[in-house]
Amino acid sequence: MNKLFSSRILKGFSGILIAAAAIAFLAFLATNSRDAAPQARANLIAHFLKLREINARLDVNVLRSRNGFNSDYDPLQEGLQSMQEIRAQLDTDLERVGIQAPEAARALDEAFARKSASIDDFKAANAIWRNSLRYLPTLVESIGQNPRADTALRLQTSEIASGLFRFGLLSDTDTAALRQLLDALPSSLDAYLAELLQGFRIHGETILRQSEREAELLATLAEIPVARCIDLLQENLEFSFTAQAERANFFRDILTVYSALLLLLILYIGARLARAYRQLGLANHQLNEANETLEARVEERTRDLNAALSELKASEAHLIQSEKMASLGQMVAGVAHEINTPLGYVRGTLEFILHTLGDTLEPYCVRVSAFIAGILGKPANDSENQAPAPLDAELLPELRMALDNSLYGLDQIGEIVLNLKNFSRLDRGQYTLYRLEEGIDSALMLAKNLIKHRAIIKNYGDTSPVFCAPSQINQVVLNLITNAAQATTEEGGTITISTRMKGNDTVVIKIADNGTGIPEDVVGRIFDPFFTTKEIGKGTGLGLSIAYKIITQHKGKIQVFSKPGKGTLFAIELPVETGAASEAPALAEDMPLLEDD
Amino acid sequence: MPEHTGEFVPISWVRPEKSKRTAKGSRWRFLRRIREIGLSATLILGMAVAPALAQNLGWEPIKPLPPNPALDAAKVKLGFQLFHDPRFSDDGTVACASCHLIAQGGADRGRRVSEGVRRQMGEVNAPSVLTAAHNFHQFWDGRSPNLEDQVSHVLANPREFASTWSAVIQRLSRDAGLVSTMRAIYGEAPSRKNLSDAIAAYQRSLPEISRFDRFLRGESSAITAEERQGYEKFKSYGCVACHQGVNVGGNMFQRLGALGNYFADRGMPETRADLGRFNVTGKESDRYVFKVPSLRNVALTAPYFHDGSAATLEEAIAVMFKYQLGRAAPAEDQRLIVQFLRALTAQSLEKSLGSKP
Repeated sequence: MNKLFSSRILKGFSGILIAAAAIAFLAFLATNSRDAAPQARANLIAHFLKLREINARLDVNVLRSRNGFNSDYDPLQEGLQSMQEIRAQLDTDLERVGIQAPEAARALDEAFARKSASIDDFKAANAIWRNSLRYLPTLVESIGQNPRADTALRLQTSEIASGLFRFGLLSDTDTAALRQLLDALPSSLDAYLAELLQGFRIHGETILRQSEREAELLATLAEIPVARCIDLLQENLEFSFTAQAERANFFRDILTVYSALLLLLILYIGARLARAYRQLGLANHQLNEANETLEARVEERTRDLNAALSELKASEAHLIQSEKMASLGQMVAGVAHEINTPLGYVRGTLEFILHTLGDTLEPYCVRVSAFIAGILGKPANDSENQAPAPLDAELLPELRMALDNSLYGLDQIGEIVLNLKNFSRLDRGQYTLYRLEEGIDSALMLAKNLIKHRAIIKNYGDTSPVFCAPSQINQVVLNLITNAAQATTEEGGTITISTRMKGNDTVVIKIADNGTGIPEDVVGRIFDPFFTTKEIGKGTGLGLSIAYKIITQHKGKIQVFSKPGKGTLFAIELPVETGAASEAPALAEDMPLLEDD
Repeated sequence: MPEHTGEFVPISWVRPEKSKRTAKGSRWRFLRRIREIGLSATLILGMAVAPALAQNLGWEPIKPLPPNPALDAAKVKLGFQLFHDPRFSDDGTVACASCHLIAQGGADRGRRVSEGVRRQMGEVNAPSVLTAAHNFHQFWDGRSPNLEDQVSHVLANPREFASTWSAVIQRLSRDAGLVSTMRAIYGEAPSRKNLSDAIAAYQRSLPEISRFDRFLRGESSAITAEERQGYEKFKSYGCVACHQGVNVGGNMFQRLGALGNYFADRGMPETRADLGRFNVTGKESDRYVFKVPSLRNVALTAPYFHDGSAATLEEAIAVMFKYQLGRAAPAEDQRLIVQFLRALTAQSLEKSLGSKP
């Protein structure tokens, strides 16, 4: 029970697991088949456009600052900041579309960082350069106005200043030459001029240095491939988008197939459920029906049980009866045997008397009688002294007749005893070849008292001996004859017993009477055990049922034909070969010998 | 000394040198000549036109403060609270506001360097936070790219807050009121991200226009004549080469001592902080390079420079002339420049400027 329960839970659990897995796979497919949000893609493209534009404007602004067209460096910083912001948005959008920033993004960041640093350097260089360049004319003028400065010096400083400006504007001047010119400036003049010249030298060198630095930074800036990195990143991302779209398409295809499969599965499960439901309905219906018929079946079973019980009772009664009969049979056999002995010497004695009477006594008595009569010669008239009268001549034959009668009676007793012995044979269970007519005769003999005055008509045919248990067959016949005798009256009662062959292998015995017959309503039940029409206590109700059993055991048939008021006919059919003795049931061995039913 | 108000400097006084490179052909000389004439003409034109353009088209190197961005008032309020919260520091003695006193210009009350936890002295002079939102990088060496990130640097600096985020968050999380406020605003418990965000939001709310901004927007009477003259000096001497843009600086790096050896002359031993941006990039060219500080509210934020070596504006201006411009200027011009710089003070703080020197 517990095991079943847990296995059920396990089954249910695994079912839920499988369903969950199927749904999870569906969700996985659905998620993966979704294309990157078109809005995000559009955003990304817009970002790239903006990045390019800002980058280009930044480059322009660097040049503008270089050439003094920008009043301040805010535009540069704004450009860098905008690019950084867009770059951050790009990352956010990429994350939203589920694409990892490719290597190109790092390259862009790197280029951007370099650009940022270069622009910082550029601003610093540019500011210094511009200031020095701005100061230079003032210095030149101051030197020119100094009375100690000669024309050569004035020309020298002017030329240098002009060269530095040219260099600043066109970057085509030979810086080495300018440096040489700066170095060639005289150093030891009067203190004020020397200071001016020193300032000139310093600023000139600063301009040169910063110009070179600027040119270098501008070259670096031109070299930094921010624009190319942007292009590359965009290309990469577009490739990723294409790949993603392809992947999404692939998953969409799988999703379609999977959905179709799931649908089919659901349909299949639905169909199975419907079928299971139908079966359940059917089973339910059957269960209801079974429930309804249960009572009937119980009744039927009860009936069967009752039948079995009555049969059991019958068997018990049979057993008791047969025990009784067996004891009775033994007693009868014992009594018969015991009677035989006195019967023997009574008969012997009687025969001796008869013999003696005939051969010796009778002539003697005749002679004695004649002698006496002779002696006396006269009849005696004195009564007291009257001589005995001579023997009546008739007396002796009468004696002989009486003795003969006694002998006859003894013979009859002997026959009865023999019949009793035969009937209650101790070997009654033994099967043997037996002429049925013998059994009928001995039954008739036993029932002599019952059937006296009734006409007994015997119609014996030429029948074959039957392999049977004679005592049992005798019992049946005796039972039927007894019944017939009881059904008939003393006057006019006729019992007809006939035997004949039916075919080669069956002997038929018919025992008929012209008695009261059996009422139609009981004729069907006369072979049932305990069924009796007699008063309570007079019959056991077992006689005919035992007869039926015995005949059935001999593979024969017993039938009854009766018309109330006209008479009854019992017909027994016995096969010549009734089967092996071993087949004889135990019950047969203990069959009651006598049944007065 | 002539003064030029435009960005372009005239060179018309340069006479073309006839004697040079006579060996070249006349054709070449002719071309050169044409080019030089064209160049000179352009420059003359530029000189003539630039000031007019500057006046009429708003072509000023300094830009007026834009309006502050739209900010969540609750965040700003929270940021104010956090800005004044000493629990950010390890021993609970120092808050942002300990060294950046908003009402006094956003810097530290005239101290050369500020005091962090356990009375440690900082390495550099505390800059003003009033317009820090407009700086392109934060800190003197520009080591932080924005206000949000900047918080972490101060927090972790062993001389400043000497703390960690986990410790700060742990301390702040015990404050049920604060936690519920933060949950209401950010929908989450205090974190490095949202705490930094609130503090940054507060700092973005701080910029406030000065009279000079009103002048830049066309209100010519917003500044005095002297201040106006000072502005012209500021431009013509080239201060504006670095101190330009919205924040009058704060948008570039520059080497301290571009035209002279500042550190050799300073008289103080060189410190690690003196290396400036070199500490961030490691590049030799970044040695002694610092972020050009914004000059907004500069009159309130003495002493000056990263080392706080200049006690007054006048001193600072003198140093700048010597080491950044490589020139001298008359005292009167410097005085005028000071006047101009005072006009960059946020209007609500001008009363704390004190009397004019």
